[in-house]
Amino acid sequence: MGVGGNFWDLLKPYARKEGFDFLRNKRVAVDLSFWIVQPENAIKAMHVRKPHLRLTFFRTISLFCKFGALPVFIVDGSPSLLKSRARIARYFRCSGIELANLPVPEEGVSAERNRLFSSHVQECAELVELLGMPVLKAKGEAEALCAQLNSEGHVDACITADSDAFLFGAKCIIKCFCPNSKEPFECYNMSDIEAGLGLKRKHLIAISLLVGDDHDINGVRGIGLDTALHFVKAFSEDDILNRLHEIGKGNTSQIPICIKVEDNVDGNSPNRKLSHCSFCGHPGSKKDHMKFPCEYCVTKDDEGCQRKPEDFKCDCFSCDMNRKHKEKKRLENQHTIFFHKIAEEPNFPKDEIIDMYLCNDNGYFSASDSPHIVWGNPNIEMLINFLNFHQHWEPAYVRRMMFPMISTIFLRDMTTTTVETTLFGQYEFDSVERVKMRYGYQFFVVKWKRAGVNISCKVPLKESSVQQDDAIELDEMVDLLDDFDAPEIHGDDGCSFLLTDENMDLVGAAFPAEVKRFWQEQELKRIKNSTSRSQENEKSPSPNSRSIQLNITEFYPSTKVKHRQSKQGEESSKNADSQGNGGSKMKRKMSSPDKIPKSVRRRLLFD
Amino acid sequence: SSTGFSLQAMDSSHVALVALLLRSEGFEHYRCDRNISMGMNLNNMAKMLKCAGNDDIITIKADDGSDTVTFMFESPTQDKISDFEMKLMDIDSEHLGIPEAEYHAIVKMPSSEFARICKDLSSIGDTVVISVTKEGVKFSTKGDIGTANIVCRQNTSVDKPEEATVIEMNEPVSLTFALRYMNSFTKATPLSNTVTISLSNELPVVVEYKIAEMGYVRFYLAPKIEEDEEDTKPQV
Repeated sequence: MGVGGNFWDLLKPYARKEGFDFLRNKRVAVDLSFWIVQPENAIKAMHVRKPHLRLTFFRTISLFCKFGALPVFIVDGSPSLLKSRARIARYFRCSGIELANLPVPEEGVSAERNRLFSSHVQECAELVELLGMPVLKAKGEAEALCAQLNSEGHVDACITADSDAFLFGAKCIIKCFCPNSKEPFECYNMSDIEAGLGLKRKHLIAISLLVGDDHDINGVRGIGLDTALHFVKAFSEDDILNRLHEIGKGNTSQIPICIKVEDNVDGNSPNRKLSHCSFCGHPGSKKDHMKFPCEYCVTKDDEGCQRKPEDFKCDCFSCDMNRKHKEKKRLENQHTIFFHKIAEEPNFPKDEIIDMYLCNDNGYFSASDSPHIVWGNPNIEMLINFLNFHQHWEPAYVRRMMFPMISTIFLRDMTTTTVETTLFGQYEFDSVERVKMRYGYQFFVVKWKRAGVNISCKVPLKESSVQQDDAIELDEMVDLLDDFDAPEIHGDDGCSFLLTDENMDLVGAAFPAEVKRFWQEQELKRIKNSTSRSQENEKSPSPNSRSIQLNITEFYPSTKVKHRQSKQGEESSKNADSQGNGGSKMKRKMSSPDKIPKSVRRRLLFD
Repeated sequence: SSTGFSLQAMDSSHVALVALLLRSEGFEHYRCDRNISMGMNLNNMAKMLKCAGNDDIITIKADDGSDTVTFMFESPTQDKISDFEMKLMDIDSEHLGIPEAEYHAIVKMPSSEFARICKDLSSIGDTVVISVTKEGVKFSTKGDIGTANIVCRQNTSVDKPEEATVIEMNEPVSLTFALRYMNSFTKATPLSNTVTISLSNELPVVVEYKIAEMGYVRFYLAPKIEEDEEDTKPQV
């Protein structure tokens, strides 16, 4: 909700679409209830088990691994009395019950949100804590604490769709977060709003008081966003709230008029309009102008005045002053109406709302203390139990989905310490497989090898079909909620590997020698291709052909892991067969090695 | 897949790629219970399809896990029914992911014109430079006997819309391609009256022919890049 009256539309020209790396290594405050409300509205018709937990899980991993952000989750506290009253009023307005029956909330007791929603928030908070993310509880509004952390420099941005956050002091808000696009973040900066609109934080608070917000739905009756904006811009930030107080008390005489009109007009306020000629429209009389042309009609001496055009406006001194006088009166009248509307509003402006917006004490930590924001390692075992209980996910599935987070933490730790060399105690870094383009950004596809164990890939066909069913079902459900790339399982020569997409800088910092070797291999491959192509070009009869033909696979990488032929003998024999028989004897294998059955998958993910 | 029938093939040197899509709505009857990928030898497939008459009804059937695909042809009067079963190949499935890209320039022109241009230029040289500017699209080649330039200006004021040449340009583009691939692409000219050529600098060109309202054939061709004279000489 936030500020009423299409406030986001006012800010729309100042939105920035930011790219993939915008949040890399940045601390981001996330309004957790906003994440919970969003899927519940969108997925009501679908039969998905606990969509709030699923979305929170996958989005946290996306934020952490894919975008490299460091999220801090903020949980709502108790809403203020004003907000409870406003919420009740909104409910009754929608339901059509008369206002006379409106219950008054008891003093000192705030109505809590509904129990189901609170339990959802609690479950999500528990989940992100198990994922190792810091969770802070706000005293009141979550976006207030998000904004305070942003303002004080503890976080770099806030993820919330509530425009209140700017009023609470936020500097950077990410309103939309679409992981599936090239520019996933719709970002608003307070500095842009100040530069473009001339509005600072207290200006925004004044607008919300006039137009209405979460805590006072109606605002001042009869004042919309345009009127409020026009009025608020006339004052400085430090002055605006004091002016509202004075207007609310009815002290309109002290308010200076915004538009300065020349003082000499006042002396002529009872001035009568000069008589004007009905023929040419200039001062004078028609009879006089018949004899002699007036000074305004600059014509030849022997001709009379020109007839005035249809849309004629006299621009003589007298008429000009008259128009200015009328304009001044109209503006005075407008301001008088405006002031009266504000003065008629009882108890305006509400000091509780202003104090709440300007409050710098929204969290359970003192000003001298910093909030406890630490990103730790996820608790894998408890997480597996938690998700098995709530989502009925298999431990193997949880470990596989968690793998990108573990690999990201591992790569980050490699730059500082070299304590552990394996993930989950069993996987280790093998090599950089290739470069992958996703939404215009480059990633390394990193290959993780299981340490020291060979697994036989021979499995009966029956389990293979069962595994396919599971994979299809899971993929469909994940696709419906959010984009998430599970690590690919790749079998090669009896060993099993996992492939993840990692940030290039992170891999370069963790394993510089490996990355250097990878680029050298790429360069060697390029030189080899270049040499072979140049030889082909020289064989061609045309001496003018000096260009190098590029390869289509360099632009469109394979979406499936290529199953390499482990033995050269088999490869050459197959080639011989295809050449000799035109490929007619080649038969489709009943079970392709690319489809790893469930038991192998289970072994890979250490059930 | 359930949305339609798609096909992807590459040439042996991995320079050109073709993607075919026939949407499920275009079929009289379409059923797909599970996504399935089949490797087919296109020469053998062509042999099978040649056995169908021009007006025959064709039904393609395949079972999950089977190693054959069945082509059934029925004559319009249904007095002759043919049943052909083709063996499938086990291809190391390297399905290329083609992202939806935004192109610097898109040229839409009559497909017969494009075919004629490629045919004319290939008699002069073996590469074509396609340049798109505000003035129009230019096809250039250079060979032993000389050079050739063909410029097509934008004209949208013709009577028939399929004879128009429409150019949308965000940025000027200039790319070099091998003409023999372009000529192979133009064999799809009978499928559509118009051809759409999408270009971005340093990216493959897309030559697209629509198939009625049913789908499309898209050809992707990797560009050529200029090299210094020293690099083209073999290093010993």
